[in-house]
Amino acid sequence: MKLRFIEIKMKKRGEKPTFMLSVIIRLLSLAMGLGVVAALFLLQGVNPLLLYFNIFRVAFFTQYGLAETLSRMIPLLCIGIGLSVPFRAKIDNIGAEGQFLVGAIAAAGVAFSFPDLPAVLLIPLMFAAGFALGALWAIPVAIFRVMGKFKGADVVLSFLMVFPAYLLIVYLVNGPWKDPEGWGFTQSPLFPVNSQIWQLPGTRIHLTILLVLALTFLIHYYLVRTKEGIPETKLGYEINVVGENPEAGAAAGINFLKIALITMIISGGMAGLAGVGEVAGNLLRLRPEISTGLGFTGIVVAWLGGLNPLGIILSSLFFAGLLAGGVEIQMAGLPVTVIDLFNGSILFFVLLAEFFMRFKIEWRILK
Amino acid sequence: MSIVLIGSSIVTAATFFLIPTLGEILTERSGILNLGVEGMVISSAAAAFAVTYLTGNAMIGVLAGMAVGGILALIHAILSITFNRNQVVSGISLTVFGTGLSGLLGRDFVGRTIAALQPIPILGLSDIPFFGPVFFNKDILVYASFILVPVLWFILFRTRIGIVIRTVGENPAAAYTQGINVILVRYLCVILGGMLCGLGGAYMTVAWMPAWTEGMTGGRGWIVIALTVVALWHPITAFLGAYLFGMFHVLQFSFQLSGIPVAFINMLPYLSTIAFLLAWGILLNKQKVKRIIGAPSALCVPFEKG
Repeated sequence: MKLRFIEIKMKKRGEKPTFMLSVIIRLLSLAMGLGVVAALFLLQGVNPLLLYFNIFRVAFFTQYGLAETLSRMIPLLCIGIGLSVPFRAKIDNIGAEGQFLVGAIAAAGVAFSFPDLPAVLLIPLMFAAGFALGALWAIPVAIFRVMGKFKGADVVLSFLMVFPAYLLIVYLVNGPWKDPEGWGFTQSPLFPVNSQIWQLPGTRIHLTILLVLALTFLIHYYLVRTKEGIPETKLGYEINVVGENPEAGAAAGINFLKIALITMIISGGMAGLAGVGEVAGNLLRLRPEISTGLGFTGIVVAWLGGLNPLGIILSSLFFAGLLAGGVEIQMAGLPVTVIDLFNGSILFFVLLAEFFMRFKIEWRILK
Repeated sequence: MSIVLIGSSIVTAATFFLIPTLGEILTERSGILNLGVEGMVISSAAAAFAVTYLTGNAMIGVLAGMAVGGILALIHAILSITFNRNQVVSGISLTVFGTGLSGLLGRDFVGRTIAALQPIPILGLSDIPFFGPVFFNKDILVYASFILVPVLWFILFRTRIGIVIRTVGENPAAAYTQGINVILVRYLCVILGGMLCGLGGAYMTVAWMPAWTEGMTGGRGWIVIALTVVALWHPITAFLGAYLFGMFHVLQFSFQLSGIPVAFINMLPYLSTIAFLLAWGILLNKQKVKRIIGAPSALCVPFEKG
């Protein structure tokens, strides 16, 4: 681009940016995202610095808040890690919300059907059912991604699947699983004692956190781990190739349908697990509004973390803190939905950051 | 419910689906997928309501809604055109951002009321039995949607501008070698598309249900995106599709006394969208569709000069 006094050029970077540079660019994008929201808050007459400070203080420096942050981190990390897998293969799963909800339905179904099973059997069974139903909810998207004729239609489909899942819960808690003592609240009865996941006493941090951390490590070990920039496992390599250059992948004999199915099953299944943990470990009831957009925040978590397990752990911690400190947002007189402002504007700048990792800008002043 | 009333509510609901769909058709015809419809629609709905409440003039509110839609679309344009970023992720962030923004814009207006846009009967036509009250005793935005359909069709398929837009969407590299400014064309289409989404959002709060509640679009923006694919990026089929979905939308209310659980009836619009999307995506012969009405092949494909 050539303006009158200045010439701006975008140049592709020769080599991949160093780890430090990519961390700095990401942190910068986070700060700019927060800056935009701060400007919007200023227009509304709310002091953003004070509000940010309060959110941060409550989320990480009070005992109650920190426990709440870690509890919120469980579903976010689980969904975010799962989503990062298809994202690496350039399969845009934006329906994690629905996969999360059907996971919760599966948990409730198993819990209410076999309330007398011992917990050591019942809880694993609930997780298995949640994973299966979440994956089932994601499989049509994978098939449609490969077989469908029109670009982008699979993305729309993955999103549209959220609504039937949500309305199914509405039906279930108003019908077969209605709480007889619910005083008109649309919710299921309390989960049977054997199906409740053990919580750290006095907090809502439940044991699912160990499962999620283990799965995070497994995904790192089997899909992401690299040696000199190349994934060490065959599957991890294939996912990367399909994501970076699908034509080359097809030429090398990589079956795209297989990759799409594997990545979407992992992603849908993990969202399902998050749903199980959330209802059986945290809320202990099925309600239509169990999610409050965790599936979308998971997308931001995955991208801010650079689709990298370690990065995702940190970014899920950040967004969990934002959710836990969200009470402060309401105290400042703002509606809860403004949390979405953070998600949206941070994602804008993360996308922009991706650009600056690949290109650098050169400019010189013309005489 | 009388049949005239049912017909009239179908037209009202369909108009809400139709206007943003026309915007999304324009956007996608230029090769850019904008999944931010839901965010643009709900933000502009809030903005239109707020401005109408403050000024007392619904037309100024409508303009404000269109402006908000256009500005939000501009963000998507910058990210996906200038910086060549993933259009899906950019669109999602727009939807999420717009949802948050609507909460901020509408914060002080929950529970307030405004005077809705009044119907303007069209002399002569409004006296026709059934069709008159259903189609020709509506507010000005409904008439605008009637006019927009043929106008968009004419521009896309009968003018040089339309050829340019479609070439940019189908083969941007070829358009570029012919000296077309691909980036400018895409910018204009995305922004105009966003303004139409804004018009749709404004229609919701200024004419359809004149009140503001958080999350009032309830995911209808996603139906718009699905409708764009189902209508094969064509304004005339979009018109038919929007009326079909308007019908589903209204029928769900008349089923409510039938004893079928409400949740299942509410699923109807989404399930039918999913069914159409799957059927179209798998059954249609893409080559044939392309020959007859064209499809934006370069959708979602970033364009890099030279």
